[in-house]
Amino acid sequence: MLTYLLRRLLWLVPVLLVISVVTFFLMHSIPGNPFDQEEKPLPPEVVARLEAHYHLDEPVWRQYLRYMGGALRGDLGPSYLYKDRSVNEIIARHFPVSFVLGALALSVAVVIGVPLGIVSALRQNTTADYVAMFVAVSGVSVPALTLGPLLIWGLALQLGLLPVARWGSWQQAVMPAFTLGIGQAAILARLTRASMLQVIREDYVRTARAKGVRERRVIVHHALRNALIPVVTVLGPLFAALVTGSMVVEQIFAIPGLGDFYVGAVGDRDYPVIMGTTLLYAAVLVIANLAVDLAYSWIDPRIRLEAS
Amino acid sequence: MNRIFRALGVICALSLIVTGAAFAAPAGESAAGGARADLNLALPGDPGNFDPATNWLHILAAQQFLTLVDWDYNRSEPVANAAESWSISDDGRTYTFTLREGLVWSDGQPVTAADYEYSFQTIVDPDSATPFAYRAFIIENAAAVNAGEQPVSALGVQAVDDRTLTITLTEPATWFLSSLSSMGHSVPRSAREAHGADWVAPENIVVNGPYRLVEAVPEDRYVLERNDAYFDAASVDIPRLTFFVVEDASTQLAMYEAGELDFIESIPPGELDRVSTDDVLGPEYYNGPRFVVYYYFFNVTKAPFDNVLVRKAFAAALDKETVTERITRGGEVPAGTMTPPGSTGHVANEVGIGIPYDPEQAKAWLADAGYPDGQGLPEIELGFNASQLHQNIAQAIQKMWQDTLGADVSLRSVEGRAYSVNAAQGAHNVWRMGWGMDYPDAHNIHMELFHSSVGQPATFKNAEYDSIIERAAVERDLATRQQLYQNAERILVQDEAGIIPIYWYADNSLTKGYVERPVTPQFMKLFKEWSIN
Repeated sequence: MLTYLLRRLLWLVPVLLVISVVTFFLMHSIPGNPFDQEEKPLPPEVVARLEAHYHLDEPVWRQYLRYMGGALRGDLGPSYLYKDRSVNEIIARHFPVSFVLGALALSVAVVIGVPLGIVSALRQNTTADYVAMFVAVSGVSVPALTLGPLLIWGLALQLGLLPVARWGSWQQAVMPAFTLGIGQAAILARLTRASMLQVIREDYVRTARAKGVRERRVIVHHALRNALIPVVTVLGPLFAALVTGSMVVEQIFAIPGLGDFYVGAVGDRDYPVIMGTTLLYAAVLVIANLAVDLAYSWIDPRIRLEAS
Repeated sequence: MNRIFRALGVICALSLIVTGAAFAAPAGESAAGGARADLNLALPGDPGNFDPATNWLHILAAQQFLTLVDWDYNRSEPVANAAESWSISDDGRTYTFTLREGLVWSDGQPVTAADYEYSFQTIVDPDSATPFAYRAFIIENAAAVNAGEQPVSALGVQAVDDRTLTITLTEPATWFLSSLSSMGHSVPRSAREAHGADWVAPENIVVNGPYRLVEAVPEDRYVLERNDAYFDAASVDIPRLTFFVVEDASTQLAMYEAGELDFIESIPPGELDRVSTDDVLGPEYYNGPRFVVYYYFFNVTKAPFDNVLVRKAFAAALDKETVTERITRGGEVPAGTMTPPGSTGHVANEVGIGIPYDPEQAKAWLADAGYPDGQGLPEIELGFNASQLHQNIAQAIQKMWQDTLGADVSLRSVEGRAYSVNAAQGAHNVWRMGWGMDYPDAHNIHMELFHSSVGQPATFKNAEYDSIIERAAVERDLATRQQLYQNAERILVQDEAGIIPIYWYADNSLTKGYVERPVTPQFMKLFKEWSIN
């Protein structure tokens, strides 16, 4: 088990290395540089000086080595756009916000999605099933860009129940967590439903019923327990997707998360921020998947993690 | 219960714990709960470092650091700020400023002429990498200092004594005082040297303007409080300004309607109709001119726009009123010339310079150019930086050119900041640009955008135009200067039709009824002039 864990964590190194190379050379191959202005080009001598200041006038491979040298020492470099902020500071300050938002959204997804899926599987082809699946499909179909402003209009402006935007209190977290989580709730609901439908047709469920076990116990103890295994499997990537994909929600609700930096840095050609956030998100994804694999063996006794 | 439920339970419990921990720390005061003596405002993005000597002027910096002079937008003339008076030498090259007596920094140190000398030196110091350093190149030796050819001490800014500062220019520049209203803010040498880039953090910052930063939460909020050391602190009415970082214009509007913001100046275009006619919002809505111009460049190095007749034909086939009345719909003014109204050197539409919308004339010019009814005209690529508004405008103009001239126009939406550089290199046949004035003088537009020394390979260049705006830059008689800019505009937008000015932007803002503010076309608001009833 420990060997397995270590081996998986060691794999993080080549994965991040490959991602760093690909990202670094890709971003340097997009035209433009961080000092381009929106409305009027800077005089070439000014651009040249700025580039020299940040070593952007060197060959890309040397810039990469310079960057990785710093990164290995834990220094992810300065932001070009926010001159006095290091990428380390930006991540330390804004990643926790995205992390909390992602965790809340995941709770929303689980709390809404799983029961919805169970209900619609147990009441297959009844009104309850159709309603639950309608809700689920709506959740996937309505984008955050629509749902967010709609919630603001209803809950904040019309009913006055919640503040419009910003971050810092649980009231301010309700609408963004819901907006971000509802789409994933829909995915979980459909997954739970499908998995549940498969399981309740299994022999062991029939056996349980034949033995005269009460229906409630059959569902909770025999069916659900097995039906949820594939659901738990997707929670890792789902969590990673929620943490890294909150840019639109952060923008709508004026939340100081990392998502905006992640996307904005590409447009701004803020190379160190692109690198730092990409590597961080890659690590989040790898670690979330690892956590799921570990949880998997715990939940499902049939699965044993092998070191080889 | 079994493990699967425990696993799901653990996930939810963990996120609640994380959330609890995240929100356990006392959050900032709720915006809506603040006293009405404070002003809650929105920033469309995080300011980053707002050191005014090394970054484009930010609204936070404009409240905290003193320029030598301010600008009176109603009378179009400089007014005293840190400098109580100034004189200009006979040759127009040397400006001598006398600072107010008793000016102090917020740490109690006196504000001296040496502080201004240091600030200008910092702007042009190559180590500062200041993006707007070129704006100071009118000052003697500034370009050489910035190129690293001379030491910063060679810069033509000298502290004669504590209260006397001289600035020597490379040539007379009538617009110089105007430009000083948005450049050359004094920055505190001791704080900058002690704390490096962190000197703008609340715990380190030293200011001499009306407000001082007391709290900074990046990407979230910036709080300024009245600076009691400011020389005119008694006349500053609003004690506290809170700027919330809210990128989305729709969210800003919702926060304004919920009472969480007191003033917003970006209203989503789709909401303008509702806002202007709403019972509550209508009276709080303001629409007025703004110092920003929207225009199209022609690539004059490539057919067909290397032919002036074709450029004129396309200009005459563009119906600017349709653009402002049917698409932008925010009170924008169709622009005959470049320089926006309210600034020195503006040429009013009534003067009759420019190419008015005239489809028949457009067809005639195109036929004269050898393309009757658009026959033989190559495909035209119209480029714009990706935005819904620019796209809508481009589509309308595409149709106008197709209908009137039979031109085959393709649209090209370009992401990213490289747009303007690539466009100026000739990436498109015609492309969209905009310009917000740094200071209210035509010099800021003509010299920085269209003079051939700007060095944009694909754009309009004209020797006569160059010489006119060079003369206008040094001309001290206002009437003569106005005439020169009129002549320059005639070449730029009419005779040579190097560009098509399309419209002057409008200021669309909402201000709560209890807030009183002066109304000017400048977009750098100065809150020392605002008050709350």
